[in-house]
Amino acid sequence: MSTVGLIRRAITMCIATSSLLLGLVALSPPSGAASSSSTTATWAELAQTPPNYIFPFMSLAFFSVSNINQFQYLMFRPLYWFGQGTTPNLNPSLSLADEPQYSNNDTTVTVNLKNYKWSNGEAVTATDVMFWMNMLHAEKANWAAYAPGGSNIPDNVKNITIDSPTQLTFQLTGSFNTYWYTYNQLSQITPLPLAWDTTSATGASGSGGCAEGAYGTVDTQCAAVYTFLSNQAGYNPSNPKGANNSLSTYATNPLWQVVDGPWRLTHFDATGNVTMVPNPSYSGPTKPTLKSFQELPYTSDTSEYNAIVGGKVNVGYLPTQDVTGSTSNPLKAGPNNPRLTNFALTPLYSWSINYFPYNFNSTGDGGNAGKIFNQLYFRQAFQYLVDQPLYIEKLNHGYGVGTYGPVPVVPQNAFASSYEKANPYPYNPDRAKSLLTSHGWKLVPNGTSTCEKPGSSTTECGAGIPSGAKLAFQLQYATGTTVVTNTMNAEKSSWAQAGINVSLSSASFNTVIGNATPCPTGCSWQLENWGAGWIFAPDYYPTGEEIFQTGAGSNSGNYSNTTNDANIKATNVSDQSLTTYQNYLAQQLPVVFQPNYPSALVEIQHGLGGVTPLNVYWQLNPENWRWSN
Amino acid sequence: MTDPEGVHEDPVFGFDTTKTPVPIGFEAISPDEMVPAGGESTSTGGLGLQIARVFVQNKLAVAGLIVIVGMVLFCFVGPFLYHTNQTDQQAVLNSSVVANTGPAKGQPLGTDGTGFDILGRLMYGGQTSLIVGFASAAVATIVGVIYGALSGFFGSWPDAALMRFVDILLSIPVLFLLIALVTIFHASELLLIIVIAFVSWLVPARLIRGETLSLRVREYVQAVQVMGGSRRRIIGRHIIPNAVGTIVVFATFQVADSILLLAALGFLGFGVPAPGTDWGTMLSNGADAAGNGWWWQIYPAGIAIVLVVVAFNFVGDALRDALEVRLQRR
Repeated sequence: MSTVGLIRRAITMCIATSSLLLGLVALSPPSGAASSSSTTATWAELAQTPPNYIFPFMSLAFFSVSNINQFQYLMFRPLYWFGQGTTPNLNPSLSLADEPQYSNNDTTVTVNLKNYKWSNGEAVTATDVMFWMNMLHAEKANWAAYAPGGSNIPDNVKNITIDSPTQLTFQLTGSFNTYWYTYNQLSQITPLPLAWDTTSATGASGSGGCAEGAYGTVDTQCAAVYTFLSNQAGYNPSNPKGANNSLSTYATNPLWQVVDGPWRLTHFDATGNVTMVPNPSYSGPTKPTLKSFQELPYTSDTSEYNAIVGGKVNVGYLPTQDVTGSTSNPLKAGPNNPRLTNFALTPLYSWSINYFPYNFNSTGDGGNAGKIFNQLYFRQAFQYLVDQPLYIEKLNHGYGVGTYGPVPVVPQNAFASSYEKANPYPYNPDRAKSLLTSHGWKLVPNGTSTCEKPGSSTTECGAGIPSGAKLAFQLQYATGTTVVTNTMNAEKSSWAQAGINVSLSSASFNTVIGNATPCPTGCSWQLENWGAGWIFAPDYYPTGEEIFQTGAGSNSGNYSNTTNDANIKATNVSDQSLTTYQNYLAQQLPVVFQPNYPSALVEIQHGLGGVTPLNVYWQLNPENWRWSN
Repeated sequence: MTDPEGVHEDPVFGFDTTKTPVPIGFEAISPDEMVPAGGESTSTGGLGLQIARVFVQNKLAVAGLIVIVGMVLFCFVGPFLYHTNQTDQQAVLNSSVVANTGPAKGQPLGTDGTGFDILGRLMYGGQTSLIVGFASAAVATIVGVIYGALSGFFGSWPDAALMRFVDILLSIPVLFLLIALVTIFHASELLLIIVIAFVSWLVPARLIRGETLSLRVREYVQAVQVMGGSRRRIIGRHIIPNAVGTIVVFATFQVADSILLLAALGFLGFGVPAPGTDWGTMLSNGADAAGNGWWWQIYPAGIAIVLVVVAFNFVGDALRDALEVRLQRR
């Protein structure tokens, strides 16, 4: 045999041996004893969802939990903090201001600031709140939480006056539901430091002219400041799809070092490695005891799990595929993985619903996707083929609750209606098929159904859908989380029963949310699933104006329905309950409702206290974390 | 070795046996009295028979061939005998099958994390691995052979230019290139064949180019040139057929390499998208699952990869020996 042959054979044997060793290593005894240090704590980011934006005023492309709740809020505190214990309620002790006072038939709101300081020594004042409000007035189109229609902030603010350095008064355009106004309007405000009011890196604090102008009178100046700050954060408003080349400067740019939260950034890279140290000037109730806090990125939940087992993570999460025992109660932890005996398992249910949007303006599928999505019968058929209870039981070991409407059902609350909870569209393939055939579609199970009766009558395919149009769609979903992938595969095969041919592709979370942006005049994406639906923040009262109202900044799929808009408005301006609104949308299916799996099956290393109770908005408070030894 | 221009070959003298050989410098003697300088001549049969004889003498190669044939039958005929659902996730979830179940009656290799039967999945994934392995090896070999033959035959600056292009591509790490291509274009079976072939044709191109440089100065090639034979005829009828040994051996090894490349991609999460699978993807999923005690999810795919790759290597080694004229019995 030749030398090359011998070498090749040796390599082959090495591969064979390696494979067997791999198996043996995989079968090795449990470990999971994470290394601990009394001075640091490490936290695992959700796979493929690293933070990628630092400026708190952002458009939908960056409007994510990983950017806001798990990154920015550690440094830049919002005016009002939500989540108290395991409830979604306002948390006065962590808020920068006292609870707002409403007067004059709820047309006036008074906000009194507490005694917080920026890390540069300046106080957090009413001017900093005005800075945000002026920027919102000037750049509301670039604020992801903005909802048009005149009844949302900033359109519902007639004027704001600074009464003193610690007090502002908002004059509203009318009388509003005060609960909604606090939870969904004032909740959007994050005071900005005067040091950011500039249009150049060498400009003096306040030189931008946005913070200290009267409310709504400095749009031009604020637009310039917004452009400058966005560019500093790596986002070019005139080229929204451009690459962010500023990520490596986040930890060194002096702008971002001015913080009022308990933490200050010392390291950040494009892969999502984050290191923070305590802000010694933090004025909040609980000061950090850790010397540093690290966020660690992972490309898959498997690699994250291996990091926990390998002792690199103090607070992480258990991937679904590594759950070794099912739970009998979705809200409580079942048996923990035997390799993680040094960790405690806690399921975290966010104040959220899970869904992915249809793009009602899609030009995909030969120009027909948007027209097909606009047909209620199609959306009903599509939803009838999503077997949420089955996926929760079989794919997620019993962890999860169904999403059947626009209001969260967990944590338990008084808002969710019985109609929504009852699941209006339970799994029913026969009903789905009959809906399609009765509307003029030639059914091709496990193939692609086609329209054979074009037209607008009740027995035809629908307005604008031509003969021969295909039920063939592209669905892009976020990679990294196995249960999302498995759910997508199950749904794809389920939709195929009715000849709805869904082609799956995957991309990173940031790519998917970057694609799933509203396009009023049409665009090509059809279905995008970032895997996490919507956590109701900063719209903590789940009235839906940010995601379902016509033209809303986070209405990814361009859903538009006048009845729904009226229902939403009714919840905003009066004390009307959410029942009418949610029942209508539960029936109308503006999105594809998905199983609401726990945001994470959180694993907390023994000895690290203060991590629980977990915030229902998945916000991190490592300033509360303490090592017991 | 193929003779020039269809002249019949004699196994001993290598020229036309219809004419009486007349050794130069000696008086004519009868053919019966002719004895080659190396000793007494014995009949060794045709070329194919000689190759087969050398091949079967290599017991490992025979075992390898049996494994390959067996694995092909297992993957492509097996599903007709052992019926499982490997594509409809919804139906699997709706059935009574429980995920992560160990080997049991009716499920000899257990189930995976989503309830798919692993024995059936091994067949299903094996189809992908073997199809991609064979097809990408075939494409890489064909492209590499043509490219290398052209480069070597023309020589001069075309050769330099073509080979520098190969050098450039060879300087890019294979796995990096593969991952980049699969990420850009989204993995599918066809795409995997193309991208694996794309990174695999470079080596045969260099091998055949070297072989061509040697063959193009042989007398029979020069004879064809003198007789006005076209370049196409020279390359197609004389150079490539005479390099067939190198080509066959390379192609055999390339199948194994392609299967390993696909396994590597699958292991890194860039294999065929679900519900499709391949052995590398199964190995990747199994490696994680095995850590939780579900050992049956890692060994089947791991063993299948090792068996097939080793088998192809054994067969390749034996083919090299069989096609090497100097190692053949005379």
